[in-house]
Amino acid sequence: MTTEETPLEDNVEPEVQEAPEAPEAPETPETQKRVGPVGSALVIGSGLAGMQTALDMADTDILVHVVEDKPGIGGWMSMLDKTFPTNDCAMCTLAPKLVAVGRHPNIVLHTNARVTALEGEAGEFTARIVERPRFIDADKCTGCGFCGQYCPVEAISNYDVAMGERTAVSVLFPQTVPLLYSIDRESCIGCGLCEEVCPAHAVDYMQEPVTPEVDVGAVILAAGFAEVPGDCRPEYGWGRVPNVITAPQFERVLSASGPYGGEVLRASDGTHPKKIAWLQCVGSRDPHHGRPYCSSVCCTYATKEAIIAKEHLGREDVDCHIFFMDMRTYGKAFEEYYNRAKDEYKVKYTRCRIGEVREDPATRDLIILYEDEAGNTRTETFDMVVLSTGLEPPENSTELAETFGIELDEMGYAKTGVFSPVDTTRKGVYVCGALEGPKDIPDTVAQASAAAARAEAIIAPSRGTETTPIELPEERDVTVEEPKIGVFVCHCGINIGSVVDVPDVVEYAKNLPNVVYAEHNLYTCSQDTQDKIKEKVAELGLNRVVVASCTPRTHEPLFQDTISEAALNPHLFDLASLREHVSWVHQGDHAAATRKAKRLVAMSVDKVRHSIPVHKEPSAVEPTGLVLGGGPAGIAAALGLAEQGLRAYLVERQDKLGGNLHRLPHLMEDEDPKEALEQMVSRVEASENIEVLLSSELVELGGVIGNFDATIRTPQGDQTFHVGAIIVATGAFELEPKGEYMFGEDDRVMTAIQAGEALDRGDFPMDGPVAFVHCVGSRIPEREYCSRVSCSTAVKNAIHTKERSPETDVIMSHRDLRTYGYRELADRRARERGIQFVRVDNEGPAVRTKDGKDLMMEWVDMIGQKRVRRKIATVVLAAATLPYGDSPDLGSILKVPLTEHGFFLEAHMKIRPLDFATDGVFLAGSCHSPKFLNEAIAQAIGAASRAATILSNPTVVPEGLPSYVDSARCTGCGTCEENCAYAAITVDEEKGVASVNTVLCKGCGTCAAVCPSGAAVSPKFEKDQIINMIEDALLPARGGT
Amino acid sequence: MADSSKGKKKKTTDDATGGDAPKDWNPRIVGFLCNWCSYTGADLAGVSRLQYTPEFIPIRVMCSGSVDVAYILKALLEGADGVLIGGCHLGDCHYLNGNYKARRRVAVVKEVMEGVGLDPRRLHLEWISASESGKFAKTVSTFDETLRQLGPNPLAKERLL
Repeated sequence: MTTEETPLEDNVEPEVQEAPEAPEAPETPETQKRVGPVGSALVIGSGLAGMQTALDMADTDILVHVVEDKPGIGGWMSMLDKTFPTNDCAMCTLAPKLVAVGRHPNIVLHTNARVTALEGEAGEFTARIVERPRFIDADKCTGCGFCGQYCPVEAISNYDVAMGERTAVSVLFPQTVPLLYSIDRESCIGCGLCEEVCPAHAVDYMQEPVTPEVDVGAVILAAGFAEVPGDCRPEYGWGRVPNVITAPQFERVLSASGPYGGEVLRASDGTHPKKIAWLQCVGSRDPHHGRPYCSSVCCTYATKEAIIAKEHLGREDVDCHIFFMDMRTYGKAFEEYYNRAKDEYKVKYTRCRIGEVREDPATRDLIILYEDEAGNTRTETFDMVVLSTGLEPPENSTELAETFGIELDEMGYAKTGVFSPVDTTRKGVYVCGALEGPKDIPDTVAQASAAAARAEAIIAPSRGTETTPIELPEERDVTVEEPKIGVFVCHCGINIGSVVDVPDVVEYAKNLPNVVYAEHNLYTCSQDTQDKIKEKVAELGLNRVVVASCTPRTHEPLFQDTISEAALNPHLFDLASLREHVSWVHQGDHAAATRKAKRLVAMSVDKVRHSIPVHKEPSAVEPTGLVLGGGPAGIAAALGLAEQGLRAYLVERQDKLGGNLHRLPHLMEDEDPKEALEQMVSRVEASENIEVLLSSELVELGGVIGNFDATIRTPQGDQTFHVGAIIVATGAFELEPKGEYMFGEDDRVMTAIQAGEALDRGDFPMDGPVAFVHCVGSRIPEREYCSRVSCSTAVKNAIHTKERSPETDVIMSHRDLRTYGYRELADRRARERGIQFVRVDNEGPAVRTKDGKDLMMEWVDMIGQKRVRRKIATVVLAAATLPYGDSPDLGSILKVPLTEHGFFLEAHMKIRPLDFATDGVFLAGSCHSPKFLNEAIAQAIGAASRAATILSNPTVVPEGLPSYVDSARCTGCGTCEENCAYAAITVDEEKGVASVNTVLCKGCGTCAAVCPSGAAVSPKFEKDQIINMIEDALLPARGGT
Repeated sequence: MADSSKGKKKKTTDDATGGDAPKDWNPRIVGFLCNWCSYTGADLAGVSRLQYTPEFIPIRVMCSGSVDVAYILKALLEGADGVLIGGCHLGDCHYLNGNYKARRRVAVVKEVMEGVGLDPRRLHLEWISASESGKFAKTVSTFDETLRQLGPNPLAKERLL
């Protein structure tokens, strides 16, 4: 573009591009011997796990090489439409991570690449990477997509799980990073069209592989999983019958970027299905086909797909029916989600065994043959069938294991231990995500952070040796310029676009005062839009930016980083929430939703018009962590910090470390918990970095991220400690269900923990039938959640009982047997040993005594549909896991929220399971939700990694924008001083003027609200801004719309 | 509640001037929601797809304690039929005690409203935590119902003050 064509009203001199001076040749490093480990790490895989682990490490000044087999990063999650149990749009939560990885100065991406060899040892590995040619020069490609438009080839898209098409030259998906095209030589016909049309001359058919070698201190394997093929059960017809598809295919059907643009259609005739069935456990819990384990995620994802199908097609217009064996909605808020699916969305659930699926050749409808719980054979006809296919190790896992020298378990996943959940069998090589076993997104994120912490334990001494400091362009001074606002309105796939008329909002925005540019995007948060925003800022001289998309709580930092890169102060930005506050909550009234969207955009535009640059001063970080709770999670978190050379205070209420682990004499796995606990405690005692405070608890907290002042009540009195970050790992406890099932009245009725202890002592009564009663105090109206561990704990104790006394009758009375993952194998073992499984109704069994002597148990057997009464010698209650009753008090001290059940509520259930919304405070273990030891420990080590992203840096910028006082207006009345909760404002009596201590100020804005002379100002929430926004909010009242 | 929506119920305050609502009238609400609890709860209502009136317009503020009296009056003068302030539960304020300040301020403004003949029910303060999406949606809907009973804000037509 020449200067004459510049569309700016006032001519801005285009910057003269000077030829960059040749960089000075770096001085050849003398043959210096490296002291300590290499300050970089290698990550294999770039799905959510790979991205999270890379980001955690990169944020602590470690250089991270990410190697991805595919031409772009993003993994499975990018293919999903929504995620359970919040129905958050997967791309929306993922895109900020994609962008963060793509732009992080400490992350080097090697896409289209594999590692062929790893030599050396922990601290000093050398990895050989082969980057396959893309036949497109990465330095020249701009991702414009011309090549794809002209490519005549129609190949099958793996991204759309074989449902859509792609060209031979293509990009993995439009939001991927790096946004570079590549030519798939297998489908390329060599016509040369792409080379001709490419404006950047980036096509290079002769490109050769590149084989860089990188030195790294540690390796993290995050290679993910593969989907079990749909034809693993040929009797279900997948591959033969068009209207039978797999769950990943259905995700693409639901997705706005999928083959049907988000419209739910059946493949055979493109009509809207009126009846859809999901068949569970396809390729899971299936020893006959080599996959005996449970894939852990399918029950909840099928529930999600059914709910979303109803949202797409209309709740009344489609019948969604899930055929299952046990409903395993065991995770945080999953059970509530399942209940909502049943009660609100009217999703039908049928417990059964599926025989086969037949196609009616005339209608192409599908007839499902199944056997219901009572043993009757039934048939039902559907328009569409979705197979809930399970997870299996990635295709190349054996090769991966050989290359990296690690052992796999018998199922083909990376071998780990309960107490070392991310350590492989090779020192310095760690694993996270589904390569370690099937798991959901939050568990994956927890492990990803944990793996980062383990790698950092090796690399920490060399932090900063391989990285170069981040350099942002110098901020443009815009204070003298007229506001020039750019507005970017997001369709959010179809999340916003299906309710709000986005193009109409864009047209409206164009006419708002000072708006010089407006456009709409499929996903405003994707990398290509970030580039677009920067481009427009530069091209049009924008000095304010408004994005209208989702909630500022999650996405504002992303866009602020973007405009910072475009030389704008990050506070010259505002986000209008058109999703959480419009399209999701006004689904039924598109006109009103569009009207509201316009008002919100007008308010944001008005807000940024009056925005001024704000500069926040970084403050020094106290490199010490505070860990609350000395159970296994707390210990693991403290060790995770200490191993990186960071100091930690470990605070425990009891007079010894160990928590519930003291009462857990054996595990389902082979490891010995007593020995493990002893080892953990002795490592704590041996560590110079950990100070243990027993019989102590937090009573007061002041300060902010990087600089908290925590007052701990110790037996020696109250002491205040200065810490930079806090990890909450206060645990949970087992319910003692007094008054239920004769618990507390009869010694023969005990809880699972009591039974485990009795089995360990050898005095567990096994001289008559032993009954295990599930869901005691869980999954009931008053306590809706599932306690996650109780089914497996019951199975474990039952097996122990049977092993010690094979002739004892053992009865397992359950509602759904939730032995997810590998715990399914124990379930099978239990059945093989003759443990009798009876499925009971939601009421559960009744336990009473007969003549004050014999214990009698009575239940409704759902399988035989009959009432059963039996004499029982011992009853073991699988009692609920409860949060501590004083959690709300701790929540108040820490200013962090709780769930309705009293567990702590994290910043984001899916992708920020270890963070609180309050900066610098993290959580781990059962205080988050009930969980197993390996999961709690992974979370705890992960929380240490999250805390290390703060503690390992010399400075931090605190949350909140400090207020300031306009001394010209201030009368020194002292009202602000009186009202400030942090004593951050003081009036200089001599000068008669107030001033703000920016270190103490948290930016609540109270001073501005009470100031009678308008001198106290809360940046970004200035009085003029809010007043204007109020006018905009009510605008139609005067003009009428 | 069913008949009340017709707006014919006799009002008990001077605010009765707002009684004869136009047929397609829907109460307009400006909501000041604190960043840490109520706005988060409102976000969660979105995630949970809880539906409420599209005439509710949220304004995110850092703390309920930062809601200036001027904002409330401005909204009412500009013709909002109701003003909702959402804060953290007492004792849970992210900024220690901002919500106590909000509570006191709201009480004062209600007195002022009464003094000028505006029904104080047009100003509503509610504690909504980050996890209370249901409470958020219900609060908006109940407030909407109350405002339907009260009819349009008389200031909306005449801008008396």
